[in-house]
Amino acid sequence: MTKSVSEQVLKGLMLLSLDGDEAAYRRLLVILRDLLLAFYRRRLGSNADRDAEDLVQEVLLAVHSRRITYDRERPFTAWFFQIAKYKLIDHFRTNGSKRGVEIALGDEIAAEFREEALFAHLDIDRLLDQLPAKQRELVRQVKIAGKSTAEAAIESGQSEAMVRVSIHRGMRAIGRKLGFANDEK
Amino acid sequence: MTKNDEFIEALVSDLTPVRRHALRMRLALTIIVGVIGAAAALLISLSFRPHLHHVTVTAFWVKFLYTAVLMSATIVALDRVARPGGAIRSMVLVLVLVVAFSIVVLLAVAQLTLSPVSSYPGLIIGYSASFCPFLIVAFGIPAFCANMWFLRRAAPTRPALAGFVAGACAGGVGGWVYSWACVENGIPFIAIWYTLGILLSGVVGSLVGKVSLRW
Repeated sequence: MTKSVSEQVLKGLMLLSLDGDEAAYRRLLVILRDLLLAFYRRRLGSNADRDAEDLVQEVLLAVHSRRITYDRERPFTAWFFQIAKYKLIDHFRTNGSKRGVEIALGDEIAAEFREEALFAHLDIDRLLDQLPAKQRELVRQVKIAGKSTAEAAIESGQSEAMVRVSIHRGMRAIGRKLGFANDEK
Repeated sequence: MTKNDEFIEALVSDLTPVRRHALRMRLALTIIVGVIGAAAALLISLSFRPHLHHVTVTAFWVKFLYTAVLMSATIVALDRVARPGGAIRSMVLVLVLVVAFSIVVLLAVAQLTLSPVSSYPGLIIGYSASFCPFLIVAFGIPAFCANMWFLRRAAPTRPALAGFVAGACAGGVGGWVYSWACVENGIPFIAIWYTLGILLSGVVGSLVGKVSLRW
């Protein structure tokens, strides 16, 4: 399993993917695959490797074909987790496992999964510190504190368009530091 | 390369950009199709109806606004249930529905108290109680199909709820268009039969959704 990653990173990757960035998308799918494999293997018990792999592919396919349902204003992991949970329950249902459905519906799994995926060791502050001060502040305010670009524009005294460009550049820079995102464009 | 890597490569090569608010744009298109379909049904039905009765201005606007509010609220709800984990958690949405219904009921009671008892059958049953709810469902059929098409391409994780919302929304569209040419003057009529028609469409949607909205 890859080292854990945070909501910010996954969401950043998803936003780049929605804009058509293939490198970011590949990276996102690989991370999700590893997360899912670990998660499902543990959930499905002993000789479940094949099942887990099938499930993982199903979820990735669902992420792909239903990515239009992701709301850019909302957390990525919540959206993704709902799909993973839905597919797991569906799997238990088709196999007639009542107990499995109950377990999957329980919130305890949700908590475990979030912890696993979200509260990660990836040090977002360290990444941000490598950005120019102005850019860092904007990325922090909009991508982490959740302010709107309009609010950030007023506070920084820049135009909203400039703020957008600055944040976009910041996110790309972070992406490059992590070893993904295209350098061209 | 493992089977999994190939799989991911296949997905990556199939990547196309998704525009901001793409799902909402698709929903808007879905609703427009539903309204046009209902309007077509209305035009066809008018050719079977020789004359238009006189409808009071009040009755027209109560029908028009009541159905418009129900339609709008269910459109917003449809955007929610189409997404994974989507539920109707918004109290505002529920409140809008409850308030809209309550106002119509209050107006209905007011109209009944102000009218002679002899007019009650006309206000409550009218000419069309036996078929009004079904016509609302029928007018909503294009919207019903469009809404289901929309949801099947989205990711509803609660099929029965999503189906109900899609059905009720179709009923709202059907009821709204139906109200343009409905001949009834009774507000109690609206409170009962319009609401029933929309609910009926929702129940059908829920049953259809349970079966067809799995993915």
